Amino acid sequence: MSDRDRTLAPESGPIRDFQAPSVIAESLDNGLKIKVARSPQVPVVTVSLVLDAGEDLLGAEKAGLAVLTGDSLEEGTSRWSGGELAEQLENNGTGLSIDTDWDCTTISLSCLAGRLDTVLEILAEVVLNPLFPADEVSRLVGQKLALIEQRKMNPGSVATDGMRKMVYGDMPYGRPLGGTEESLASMNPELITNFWKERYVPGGSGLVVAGDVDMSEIKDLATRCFSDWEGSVDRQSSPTPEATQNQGKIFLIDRPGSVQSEIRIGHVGQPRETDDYFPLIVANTILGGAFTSRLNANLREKNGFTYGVRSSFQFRRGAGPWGVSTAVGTDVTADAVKAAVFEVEKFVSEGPSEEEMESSRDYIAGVFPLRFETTDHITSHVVNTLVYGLPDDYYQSHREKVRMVTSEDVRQAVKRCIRPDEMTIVVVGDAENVKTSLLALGWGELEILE
Amino acid sequence: MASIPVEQITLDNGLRVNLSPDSNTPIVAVNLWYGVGSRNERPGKTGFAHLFEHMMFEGSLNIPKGVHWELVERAGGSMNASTWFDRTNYFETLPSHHLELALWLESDRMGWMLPAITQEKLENQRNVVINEKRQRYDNQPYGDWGEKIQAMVYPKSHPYHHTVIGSMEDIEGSTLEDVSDFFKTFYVPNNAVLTVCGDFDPATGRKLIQKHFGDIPKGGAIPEIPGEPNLARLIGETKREHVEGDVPLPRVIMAFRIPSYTEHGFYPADVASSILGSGRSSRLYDSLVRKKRIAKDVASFVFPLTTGAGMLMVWATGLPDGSVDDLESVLSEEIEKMSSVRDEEISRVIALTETSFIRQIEQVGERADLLSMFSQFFDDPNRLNSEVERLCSVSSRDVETFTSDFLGEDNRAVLTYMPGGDS
Repeated sequence: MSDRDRTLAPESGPIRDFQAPSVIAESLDNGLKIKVARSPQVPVVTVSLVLDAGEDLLGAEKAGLAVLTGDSLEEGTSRWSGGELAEQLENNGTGLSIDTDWDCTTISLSCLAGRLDTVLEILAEVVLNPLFPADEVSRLVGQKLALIEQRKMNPGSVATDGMRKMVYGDMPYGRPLGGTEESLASMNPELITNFWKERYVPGGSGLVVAGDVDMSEIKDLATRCFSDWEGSVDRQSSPTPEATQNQGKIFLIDRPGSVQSEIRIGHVGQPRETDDYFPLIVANTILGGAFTSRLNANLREKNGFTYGVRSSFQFRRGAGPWGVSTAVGTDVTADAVKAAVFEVEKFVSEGPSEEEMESSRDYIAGVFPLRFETTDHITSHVVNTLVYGLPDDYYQSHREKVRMVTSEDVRQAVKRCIRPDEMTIVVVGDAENVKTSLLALGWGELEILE
Repeated sequence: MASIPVEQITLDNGLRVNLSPDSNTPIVAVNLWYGVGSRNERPGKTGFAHLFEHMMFEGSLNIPKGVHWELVERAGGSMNASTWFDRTNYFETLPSHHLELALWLESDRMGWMLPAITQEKLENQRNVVINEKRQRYDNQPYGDWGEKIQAMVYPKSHPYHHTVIGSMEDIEGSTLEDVSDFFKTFYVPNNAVLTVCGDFDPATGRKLIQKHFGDIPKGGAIPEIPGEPNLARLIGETKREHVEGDVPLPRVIMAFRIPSYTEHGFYPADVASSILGSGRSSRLYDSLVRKKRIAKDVASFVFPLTTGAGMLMVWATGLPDGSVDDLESVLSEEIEKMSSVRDEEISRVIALTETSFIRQIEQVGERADLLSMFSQFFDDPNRLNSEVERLCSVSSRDVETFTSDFLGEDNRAVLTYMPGGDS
């Protein structure tokens, strides 16, 4: 054994083919789409009901209404009070996870396969017959206002919220997803009920099931649970942001005594439907998506400024933000901003190396099977195809599309979609200690906010 | 219950190995538990186990700095590590044809890490860790709760008295010699468990493991845990600390010393914790959030620790105008009421636990981690298959007895936070 050469990485073994589970699609007469992803031999089933009920089309005065409506579903139905509903679910070893984002509301649960019938009936009761009792709604609003208080003192949340506001201004993406103190103060059961009537309808919604199940079984079950449901929603187009506001400015949000500075750098990004989607996920892996990315190599592994730094495109129906995010020691704040801006500018002007292209394509393609390991991974992918209008076999060709991305594709996409001149910077930290060095960067106008 | 196959072997150098094949998805998990955590740190050297976990990613004899991550990411794998009171774990999940890559990487740093360490790497990772501490603890509201609770529940002489992240001063004072001593002492095959779980052929797996780990020399005996690991069953009083300062909302955290994870008495504690705080039908949610409306959120959990005693915690975060006294008195009431538990509450908790356990072991990485844990703590990876049964065997009577033995005022640490005061 000892004469073996340890210096060389071992050859890989024979590759085993992996296919994303195929998706069978049908729909009920009322328009509810049904998608089943069969995943044999697993004891758990995951169900997601996805509704066209996101935050992105709501005006400022209704900010947070979609989130509140989703969360209020658990506060009682014609059959059960909120407490009884929780018992029904938990006696069956499950619980609802209700997730509302800009694009949609997704209600999911996972249960042992033998309990699917019972559990799906409970889910239908929650979606079709919620009561939104006034006192429970006001309690939820109180909890959300408390959450806003918590976010105000969390430097990471302050930075993220600040960045959204600076980049998007009064557009929906510029506010916190869950709404504001002003908008929440005006919430009431009537508003919620109207939103529910308008958006919680089968036409435009989808039921996704992953597990050891087949379509005929699911269709029978869905028919029994959801065939009385009526209505449909006409999707309006998502808000299209103008150019990034506050370009070339640094906003320093003062947090006296802060031992770190939270840094956000970014601008308006791209919608999910962009033609540059695949080049951009490769590009982001290289710039700030992977641990070995340029940003992390510089700010963490070379300089020790931070525990970690990431960049990301938030692909939504509309153009979500692109940006860099990190938290660094107070004394190195300006150095870290400089290093991050340097890496972004360098990447945009030089593009990727062939070696980076190869390793990031290998990473994204290779990591693919890991993203389909569990039934809730699988349903979340299928939900994405519904929300973003992707074909049912979308994930079958995903790796092929990643492998076809060239360095020139990345170079062009990055030039189009990452624009250093348009960036805004938000820093949350001890202004007294960081303002001079931030000004000295000469990067842009500095505004200090309390 | 669960029927996860596992084959155990022990190499000549003492490395315990678990092999658990499953060809459902073409991915494989490689998981290593080293029997070293913050409990093994000596006074003045707190935070070392975690700092040295970071050093494990800085390269080894045949793998330059950064290359470990590069190779695993390039292979389409995910990886990380974590340090806890009783152990440090390292793990990769990757497409199964790259199994040997992970074994090579892990074996190189187990056997040949020391030749590669430098002062520069140590300084770099010291800065990273200091920033980790700032980001996760110092710069967060309530970020010091763990430190304060541990210090109340465990006496100064006990190895759980200090936190895993440790003190900045100690971290700043670490030297290359410390790193070297620590690795020679603890990062040895006879102090580790290696689990391979997922899509691989066991015969090939055995051969590859022997090839990569077989020639790592056995280390010395592992030193005893410093301080006084043995503890009185109870804290002996109600200890309290009140913090007024930079927090947004009132919060009360209560902690109790409980039997260690290696004792059968741990399971009633686990069930009690779930009855109190798991899910929306739990007692604390129903009382403090839904009915009395004095809390924004509640939680309860146990730390399954193995040295002397574990810990059960409950916590409640109040609303903006609320008081910690109200929160504490209702928490106390609910804890007292645990002297009577209904069978249906037990069945509900078991149903919830069963689903979450099965969902957890659906993932090869999680399954591998549990197998390593059961080997490290119990010398029996097969315990994974009977873990839920141990919970199912807990009766309402057991929980009631646990309540009267452990949840009294003579075994309590109370930490309260109020907004305001000096920031």
